[in-house]
This record gives sequence, structure tokens and C-alpha cells, in this order.
Amino acid sequence: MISDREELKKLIAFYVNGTLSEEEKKRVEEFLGKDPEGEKELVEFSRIREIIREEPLPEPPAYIYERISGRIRKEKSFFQKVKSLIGAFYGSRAISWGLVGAQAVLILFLLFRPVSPTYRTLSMTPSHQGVYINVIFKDDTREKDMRALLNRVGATIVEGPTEEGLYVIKLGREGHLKEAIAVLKESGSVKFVARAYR
Amino acid sequence: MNELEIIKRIAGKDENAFRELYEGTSKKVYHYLLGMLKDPRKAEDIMVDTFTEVWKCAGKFRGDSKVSTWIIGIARHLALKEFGKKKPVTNSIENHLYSLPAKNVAIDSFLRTELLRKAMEKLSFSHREILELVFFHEMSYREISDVLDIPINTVKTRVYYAKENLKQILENMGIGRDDI
Repeated sequence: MISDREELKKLIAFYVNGTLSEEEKKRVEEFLGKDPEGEKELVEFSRIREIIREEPLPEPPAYIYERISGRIRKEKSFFQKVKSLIGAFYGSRAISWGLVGAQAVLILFLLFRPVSPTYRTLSMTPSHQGVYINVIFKDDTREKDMRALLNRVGATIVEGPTEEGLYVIKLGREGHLKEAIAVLKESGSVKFVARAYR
Repeated sequence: MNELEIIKRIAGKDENAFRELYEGTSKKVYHYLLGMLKDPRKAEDIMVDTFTEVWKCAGKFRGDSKVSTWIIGIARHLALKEFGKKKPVTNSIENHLYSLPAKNVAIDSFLRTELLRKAMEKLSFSHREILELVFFHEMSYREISDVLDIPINTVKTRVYYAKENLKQILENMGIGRDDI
């Protein structure tokens, strides 16, 4: 356990530099008055203080402040630019109304934007003009056979394939629909075919 | 104007207040950095960084310590960050240069002062640093604890052992332990 005496000895340096509280100061003074070793510590620390305080203080070169000054001016001008931008933003009616307008446009867009469905059946696709057919080819159908089949029914691919392998094809003319579906079914290359209502 | 007012004005980007603070504290900070780094160029670079930081962070000063203590804390942190990989320099004067042939030689006051100064230079950095913080910068043990980021008890013990170490160095130099 650290004795009170040892603790007081450690405070002597701070007694010498004058930073102790009144209460600590009083305790140290009482200790110094009755302990010769404490008195010796006081002399030693006072001597060290004297030596340290006698050391000449080197003058920092004047250009150091110039360097600092350059840096803080840069920082200050940046700070002022930001401040004036913020001031202009809040101070100008045109900017404020512009901001209100932009927010209104954004809100209207979010409310009325076209929303695409997140799912659909194989026989249903978004509505468009024309005659469309949903087709899923068999996995082993070659691209060459697909092309030949589409040419035969006079159709072109307008969408797909999806993850499920669904293509949407568009026929050249409406009256051809039944015939085209029959040809596709009989080809042996498709596993699903149905009219697409768009 | 007191320190807190100056700092408040600096926080409001008042360059005159900053100049005032610089003039009042720069010598002490430079002295501290020179003692720590032993290289004027490095000390100058850290001075620039330190005072730039003071300019930027004046608004964060809480007023728990003296402004000079706060600035030295910043300087120390930046110096350690920049050059911390190397140990702070301890003076390289040969240990025996000032050794005297016999112990307890009678010495006059001037010589004793000189020897004591040389002995101070031979102290380890941490011991020299703490004695300077106590007697040159006149910091309380609480302030030193903040600056060095060590417990208050360690501060008190380190100061005490710094003095004991100084006496040992004096003894090695041929001067009686008790002849401080």
C-alpha cells in the first residue's frame, strides 16, 4: 500500500510548479515542515525547475507563420465559399421556388410513373397493337430450326427469352393466327404456344 | 482578452485572434517540438500542422485545460503520428564526456549548473519530456495526464523517477547524488 508520505513526496514537483489545489498545497507544506527528506526533495525539484526555466527559448522562424497563414487562408476561402453558397441557396427566392418546383415534379413522377407488373402469366403480356404469340421452345431446339419455324409462320421475335425461355413473337397479319399456332404446335420444336393478349 | 475569448474568436475565423494566440504560444510549442524531434525542419512542419489544426478545431476546444496545454497535446499527437515510428531522440553526447575522475568533487555553482544541464540532456525522452511539462510548461498532473494519455498516478511516479534518474546520471558523471 502506498503510504501517505510517499504520495506527498510525489506531489512536491507540482508544489514547486504551483499547480496544486489549496488543500494539496497545505498537506505538502505540513509534510515539508516535519520531514527533512521532503525538504531535500523540494530543493532538488526547485533546482531542476531553475535549470529548465533558464533554458533560452528558441524563436520559431518567421516564415512558419507565413506557411500557417497561407494554409488557413485557403481553408478560410473554402469555408466562405461554402457559407456563401448556403446563404445564396436560402436567400434567393428563385432558387427556393426552383427547388419547390423540382420536388413537385419528382413527387408527380413517383406517383404517376408507369409501373410494370412484377409477374405475368404465359398467355398475358402488356397490351400493344398487333397479333402476338407466346412461345416456349424445347430445350434441344437449335437456333437454326427456330429461325426456320419463325420464317415459316411469318413472325419475328419482339421480346425474350425470359428466364423461363418465353419468347413473344409478332405475326405479320391477324388472320394468320390460328394457322401459325397450328404450325408451331406441330413442329415438335415448341413445348408451349398460345396467343398473347397485349 | 482571455484565452477562451481568443479561442471563440478563432472559431469564428478571426485571423487577428489567431495571430494573437500564435504569438503567445508558438515559442513554447516550438521549444517542445524541438526537444522532442531534435530536428528544426521536422519541428517546423509539425508547427504548421499543429496551428492549422488549432484554426480548424478551435470550436471544439472545451476549456477543460489551458489553451497552451491543448495545443501541446495536438502537437505531440501530430509529431507521434508523423514520426512516431522512430523513437524520439535522446541526446547523443557521449556518456563519459563529462565524467570526472573522482566522486563528490567540489564544484562551483556555474559548473554545477552546466553539469546538471548536460545530465538533463542525457535523460530518456520520456523523463526529460515530463520534467519539461512540469517545470517549463507548468502543467498540473491532470493536464499532463491528458496530454500524455497516461494515468495520473503514472504522471506522479514518472516525475519522481525522472528526478531519481537525473541524480543517477550525475553520479555517473562523478558528481555526488545529492549534489543537485
